[in-house]
Amino acid sequence: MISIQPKRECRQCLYTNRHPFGLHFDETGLCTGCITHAEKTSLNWDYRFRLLEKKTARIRRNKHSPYYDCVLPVRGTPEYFFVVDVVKNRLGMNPLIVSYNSQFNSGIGIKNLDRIRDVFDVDILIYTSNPVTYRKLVRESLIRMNSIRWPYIAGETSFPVYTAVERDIPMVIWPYHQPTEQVGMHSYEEEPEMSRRSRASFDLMGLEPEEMISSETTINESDVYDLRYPAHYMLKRHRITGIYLSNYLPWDPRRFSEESIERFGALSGMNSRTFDTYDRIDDMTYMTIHDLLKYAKHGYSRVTDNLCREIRFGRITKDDARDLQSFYQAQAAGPGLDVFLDWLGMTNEALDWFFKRLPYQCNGAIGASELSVAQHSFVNSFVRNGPDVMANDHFILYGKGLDCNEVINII
Amino acid sequence: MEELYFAMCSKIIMAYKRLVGVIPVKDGRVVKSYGYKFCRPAGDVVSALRNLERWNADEILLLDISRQARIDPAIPMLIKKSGIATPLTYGGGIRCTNDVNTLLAAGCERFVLETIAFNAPEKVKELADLVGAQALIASLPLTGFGASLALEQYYAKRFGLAHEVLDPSLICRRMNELPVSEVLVIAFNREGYSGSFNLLGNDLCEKGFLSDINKGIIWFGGLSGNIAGRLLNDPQTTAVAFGNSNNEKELALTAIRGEFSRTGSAHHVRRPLLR
Repeated sequence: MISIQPKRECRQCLYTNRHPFGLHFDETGLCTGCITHAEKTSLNWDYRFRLLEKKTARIRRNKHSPYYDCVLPVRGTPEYFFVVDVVKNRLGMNPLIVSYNSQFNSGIGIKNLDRIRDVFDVDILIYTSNPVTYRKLVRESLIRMNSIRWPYIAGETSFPVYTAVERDIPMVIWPYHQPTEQVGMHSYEEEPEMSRRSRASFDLMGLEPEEMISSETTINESDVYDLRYPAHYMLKRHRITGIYLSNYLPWDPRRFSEESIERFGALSGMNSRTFDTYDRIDDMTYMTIHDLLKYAKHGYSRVTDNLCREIRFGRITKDDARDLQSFYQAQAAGPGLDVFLDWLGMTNEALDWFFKRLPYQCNGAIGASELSVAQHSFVNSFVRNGPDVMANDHFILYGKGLDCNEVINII
Repeated sequence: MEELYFAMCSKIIMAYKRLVGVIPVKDGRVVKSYGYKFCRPAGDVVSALRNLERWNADEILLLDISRQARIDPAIPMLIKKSGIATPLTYGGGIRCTNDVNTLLAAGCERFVLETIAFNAPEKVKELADLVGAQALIASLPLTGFGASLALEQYYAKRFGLAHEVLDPSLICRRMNELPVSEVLVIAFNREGYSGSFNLLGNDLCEKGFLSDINKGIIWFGGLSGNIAGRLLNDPQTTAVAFGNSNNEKELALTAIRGEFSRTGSAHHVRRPLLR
């Protein structure tokens, strides 16, 4: 039971103190997220990038692994082309690219991952958990945390660190620290690093994999074995640190994505429930079932995160953003939802019952015709050069973009 | 023989000074506090408690800085949920024996008293009768350094004291009279800014009236590994405490222990094995 405070909204962006990460305000009513964001224009980023160069040069000199300098976790979104470019070309490191399979890959996400490998000539290590276990964990996390993302996030945040431990690679480079970008947990000058505590508290919603094991469920120790975080003595023995690039570069996912599309041919695509054609386009459940659950739990959806970022960068006004928020939050999830429910073995009626238990129900929205010309032109300013995210509605893809039907035809 | 053995053990244990992990809490959630004036969100209480236990902190200090004259009912539940075994101290909103009983039941072992330490010493005596003076710590938020050490203005006003700078002998006498075992000296304005501790001047030896306090001192606020290491060499120091830095780096407390060797104070603290 957490004390409920009166709702309070930031004077600049759309976030309120009901944000699940927590949000605080200064005496002028500006939220900590906006305060941290302001550092993107006030800090000397050339100096900060030199700090990063020094840090990575030290790692290259003292590395234990004969080949790789760092582990670099990626996903199939355009932003990650920029990340690999910085690490490989600007910092001159030899990264081992790793990716944890979400098992709900969109065709566009798989193509982007392949393109990263081809463009940058890097090794990619992809880890796929046992699909049966994965489904069991998705069910369990839905029941216990009203979330389907927990198994993916647990794997995504442990696999790169385990890879670093197993291969004796001293550094893991993450693109950004989500609590800092959204709610300003740290100042960039504090240079936060990867930690088990941040993972447990923010990424895993306070529930570590060991806590999933229960005699009341069918989850046993072997089911979460590959989701656990390495022990501290292992991290210390291998001197592993995890850094965030956003501490050294003024992080702007939209600008980086558009640069990646132009320079490397990264693909972007239309997603449901948002205007952002770059964000989370690798995962067919993110903007469908996950986004609906997010709204039902917290009263806002992913489009609010996208809009807050755009407001902070001054690319949209708060009033326009509020209209777009209302428009997108009321949109349906699209065809992906039924496929997901089939996969999980859940009916639409059960899902309706599930949503009714949660505190926020979406009601009242503005129609597309009510959006202004400026709002339409803002939405259209996002590049779309690939197929829609839901163009392929099969959740388990075999090999490189081949879906179930194609595999059957080949056989 | 057995008595001698336990006496030796206790002497060995007493020889160690403590490295305390502080968890500032506001409205039921962990925050990174900067001079108690500005906060950033820092996650949930349970994972913060468990994390410091994994890091082998000698003691955890859960400090509720919400400035409410009560215990947040969520906090005892969260402490119970964490299931930690590390000695746990709680501070913030303690006013009466009921509060202490609630916290004892949740698993707290020691209690930091601030408001009642200044304006209701008789209540401190009541609490000491209940749990013993060894379980009580008085909080002393200070600004300035050396001879100009002053009780922080906010507290001075709150306790109805006329002047910002209090008579040092008054503070000293109050601390010595209270039935508490230690004094938590907080560099109030520097809290949250690592390496900015300024209560004792640059050479860390202008202790002013603090040297007249006849209790052990726990230092907190703006410490770095280097400063804390030098403070540990002072015989009056019983512990050093770190807050915000625990959120920024993995194994931050372990790294701080490592820095003590540079200041010749490593022998003052335990060197536990990591799990």
